[in-house]
Amino acid sequence: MRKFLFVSENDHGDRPIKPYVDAGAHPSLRLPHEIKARLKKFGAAILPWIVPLMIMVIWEICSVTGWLSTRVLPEPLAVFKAGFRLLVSGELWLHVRISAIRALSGFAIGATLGLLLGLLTGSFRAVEVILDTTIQMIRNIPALALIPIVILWFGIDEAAKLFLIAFGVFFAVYINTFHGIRSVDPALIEMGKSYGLKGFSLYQEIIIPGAIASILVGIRYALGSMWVILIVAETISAQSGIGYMTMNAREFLQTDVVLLGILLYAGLGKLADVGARQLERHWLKWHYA
Amino acid sequence: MFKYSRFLVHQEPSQLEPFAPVASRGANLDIKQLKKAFGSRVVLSDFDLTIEPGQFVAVIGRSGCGKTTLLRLLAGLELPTSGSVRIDGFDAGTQRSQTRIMFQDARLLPWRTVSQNVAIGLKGSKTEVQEKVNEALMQVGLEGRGDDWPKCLSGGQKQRVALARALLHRPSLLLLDEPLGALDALTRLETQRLIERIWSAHDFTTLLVTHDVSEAIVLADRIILLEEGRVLMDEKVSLPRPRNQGDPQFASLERDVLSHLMGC
Repeated sequence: MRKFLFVSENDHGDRPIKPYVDAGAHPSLRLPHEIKARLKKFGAAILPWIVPLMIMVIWEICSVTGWLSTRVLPEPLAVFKAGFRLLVSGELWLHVRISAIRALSGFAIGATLGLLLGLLTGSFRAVEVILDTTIQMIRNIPALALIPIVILWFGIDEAAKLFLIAFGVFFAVYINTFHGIRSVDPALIEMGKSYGLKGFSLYQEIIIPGAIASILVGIRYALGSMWVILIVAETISAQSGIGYMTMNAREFLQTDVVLLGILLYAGLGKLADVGARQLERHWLKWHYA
Repeated sequence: MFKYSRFLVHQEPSQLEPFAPVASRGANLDIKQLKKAFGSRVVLSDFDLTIEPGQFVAVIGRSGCGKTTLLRLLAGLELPTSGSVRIDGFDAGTQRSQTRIMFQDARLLPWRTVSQNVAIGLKGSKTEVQEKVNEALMQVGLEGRGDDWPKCLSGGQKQRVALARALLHRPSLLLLDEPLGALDALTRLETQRLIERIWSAHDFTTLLVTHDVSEAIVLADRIILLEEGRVLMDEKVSLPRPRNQGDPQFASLERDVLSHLMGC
């Protein structure tokens, strides 16, 4: 869908470009169509990165000329240097790995539970009647409001962080799975039943594929809240991870490392979103065909 | 394309001809004292109908006269409030594997390819299934489209996929719930001809629900007119096939049915 923004109606595609001079005499003066098309594609790929690049350049200029104090914001080059230093010492990889494992295991627990429970309440009225009201009530509690009681229950160990992330992720996946299953076209289910599908095969052929678009929306949303909760959980108490790294750097006024941590969160968030999009492209390929 | 070449060679002289006639005969329908009500609304009452094996019967009526409900009862998708709906002597609910229904919308799964849609509910080895699917697609003139997504097909093509899907199970009773209602005039004529050709080769009993009188006369051996859950008219059509709408006998029958339908 995105491609239409940039490379749809390419009006150079079929309209010949009028040469200033006789084309037969100077064929080299004409730009071949395919090169033009390629340039256009290249431009479309670069365009989104122009604004971030400009910001970096202006920021660097401000730092170098002294308009921006390094206490407030270090120059971009310093952030790169800090990143390189930590990468060489192996510290960066350690923290990123720990944070990623934390985030993904919490996500796996919460998303699996959300998916299973969503499947149950979506499929069986009785389960919905029994559970849905309770779940809707708990849903309105922000995960971060649970921090005090979670610390009392689990201490400040890994378990507390996993619980918070799983809790935050659960509802997005649950609600979208439930909604996805409920909105599968009943005419298709009836058709499937009249062709002898039931139980597992009915889910495999009709119900899950029909709900998958909605489930994926839930997963993308959940990935977003996963990072938010991880950041807060790690800045409260941790002995490792990106949050620990940045809090530690703050104590020593290492603004470059603090900024590096923030950028890392941005990068990991983008990565998770790209992953979710890949899943979408794979599972919904009939949608884009 | 070469993937299908074996079938092309095998069936070349009659690519678009119907399936080879099979021994299975059509189902025998027997409806007695049928009553169907949804809550307090009675849709069908005191309804009796017998249909002989292999007959092509068209049921006509205004919308809301109970014709679709009748079809759904035969398909086992609804249960009678009282009375019996029997197919070959058994309750319709137990005969679902013998019965195939085609709906007004094709009801193809958008997330499955044309081939996978045709193969739905079919058991057997992969090559066996693929063979049957290719054969069925060829029958409806869609050979080579098996790998396409349903959204790439036109309305008429979607209905032909649905027809192939229904025929693959060799039903003894084919139920058609206004399957051509949403098609343009030309595609409708083509699809009518296709259904007639396949039906005459197969011998299955067919019940077509429609509100198009000329469609009913083109296709049916027998026309049943429903009004408010009762049979208003039950008439055999003995015109020779293929029927021509320009035929004076055709026109007089059409007038006759229409005047019954309009109640004058």
